[in-house]
Amino acid sequence: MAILAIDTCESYCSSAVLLASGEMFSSADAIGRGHAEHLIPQLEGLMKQASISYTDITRVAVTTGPGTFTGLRIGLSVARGIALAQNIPCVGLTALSVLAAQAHPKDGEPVYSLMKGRGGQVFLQAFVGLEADGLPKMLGEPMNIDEPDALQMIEDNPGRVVGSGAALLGLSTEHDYVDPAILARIAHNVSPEAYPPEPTYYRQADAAKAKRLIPIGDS
Amino acid sequence: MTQATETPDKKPQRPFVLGIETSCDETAAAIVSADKQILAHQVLSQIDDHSEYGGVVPEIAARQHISNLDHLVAGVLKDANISMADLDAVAATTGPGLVGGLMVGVMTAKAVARAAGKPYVAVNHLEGHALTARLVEDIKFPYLLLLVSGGHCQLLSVSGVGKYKRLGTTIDDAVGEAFDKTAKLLGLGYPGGPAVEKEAVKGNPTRFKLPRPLIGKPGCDFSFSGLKTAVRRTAEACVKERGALYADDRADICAAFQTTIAACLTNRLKNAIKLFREEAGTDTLPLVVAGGVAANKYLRAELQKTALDNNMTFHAPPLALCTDNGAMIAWAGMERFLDDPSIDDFEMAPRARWPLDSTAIPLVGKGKKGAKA
Repeated sequence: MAILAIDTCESYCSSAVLLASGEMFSSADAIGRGHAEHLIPQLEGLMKQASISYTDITRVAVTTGPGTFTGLRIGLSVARGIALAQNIPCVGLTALSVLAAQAHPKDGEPVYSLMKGRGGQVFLQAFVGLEADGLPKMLGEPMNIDEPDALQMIEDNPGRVVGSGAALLGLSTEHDYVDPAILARIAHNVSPEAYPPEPTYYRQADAAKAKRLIPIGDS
Repeated sequence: MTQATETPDKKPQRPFVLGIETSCDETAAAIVSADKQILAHQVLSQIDDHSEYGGVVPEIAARQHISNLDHLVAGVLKDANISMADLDAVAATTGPGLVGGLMVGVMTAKAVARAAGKPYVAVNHLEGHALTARLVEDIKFPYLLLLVSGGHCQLLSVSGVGKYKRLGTTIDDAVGEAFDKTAKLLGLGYPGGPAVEKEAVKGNPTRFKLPRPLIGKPGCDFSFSGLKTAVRRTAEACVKERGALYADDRADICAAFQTTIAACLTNRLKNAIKLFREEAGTDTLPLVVAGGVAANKYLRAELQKTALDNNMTFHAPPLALCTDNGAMIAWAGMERFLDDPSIDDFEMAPRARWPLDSTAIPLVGKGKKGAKA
């Protein structure tokens, strides 16, 4: 068994290889741009360190977003491409849930996953406690909201915060990027059917509907 | 989803190449063999996803590509009844096109190629159109190519795989773009090509007179932006007269527009034939027409007539291979793979702009910024 985990949702380009022995090989590089060029050499480097090849991989895991639209699709394309070529399952988890898991949320104390959005907004989801599979329990749905509203929510029901959005709100956190090792460990425990590798944008594409340019007669 | 799986008469000959196309609003995959059989071929059109916006929205296109591409690839492998291991190379459109979509196709193709231990072939979308005729017929180099699509309008002399000389290009809009914008203005929806063609059949092409940009001028360049403006003014004049644009106005405008486009294309084509013949030094030569606009039956017939009148043989791929598809990318990948079996373009990143003739000077400053042509 070997699990390959991939995260390219934000400025980090990260991957991990988890072996049946429990040995973990992982890399998280704060590259900002250039995920497309960085990712495959990075994960092949880890596979080399772990002395495995593509044929040894039994499962792929990937973060599905939110984040930069193109970035999250790079990770999804590579994860789904490898799964297709090797005919193996692919698990998709939101970056919000992986980030929260990294903080080991306890029962009764909310953990807010906050990720950088656009135009003064952040992606937010609240969690409380951990399931047996390592996934955090959802306290609410994921949302894309204005920064002041996010702050208000946290003030109303205080808890710890994780993710790249924390700094935007002036809050401090111990976990501001996805740890691909945690992604790999959770992916080992969950069913690919329940967590398919489908993108989670949480934001509509910016596009205006077509307007009628000139009046059209009925007959 | 349209699905056209050929039933091969004879055992297909390896190599087999998988081709992936995601540069615009079609997600497509296909597998072709060295003996020119299309083993499987699927195209997922996104027309319904974009129609309410009146054109292709790049982010919506990219979202559709990522959600469908791997299923499409699995589908063509199944249709072709082969496994990943039977492939000899994986080709994907690497440019030009919308980067968000290209990224999905390129990264999926690279991941598949690496994980399956196959070479990756970076295909230029325009080269895909340029070589499609060779997938369906035995056409020898050199030939004259007229590439007419929603994003491109150029005349090229093709002397071999990777050997292209641009004879002319549009100095503003692509010809398919002129169709789409005309359709949008006339309330005919998106995509505009088939809609305008359908209206034009019902119309009187002589009621309105539209300008014919560049006709009679030397050279092989095209221009369509003035025509677009003329169409708008004509439609506005109809509205002023009758309060709205009625069905007969619309059909007559479409008919005038289409005959004008035909006049422009054939006029520039004649100049290109002369130029091409001088260079090639032989008399009878092939003209290949490719791209989505080549699916227009009226234009196709007019171009064919011009070719035959000028002692050229006429070749246009079947309609399904004129619009964007995976087979053209698989075939261009095949031609490059056969040329150099040690090929691997793994290092190549997606390119929004990627001219076929790298020596041609981009016509920046003449209203053309490169990607459109």
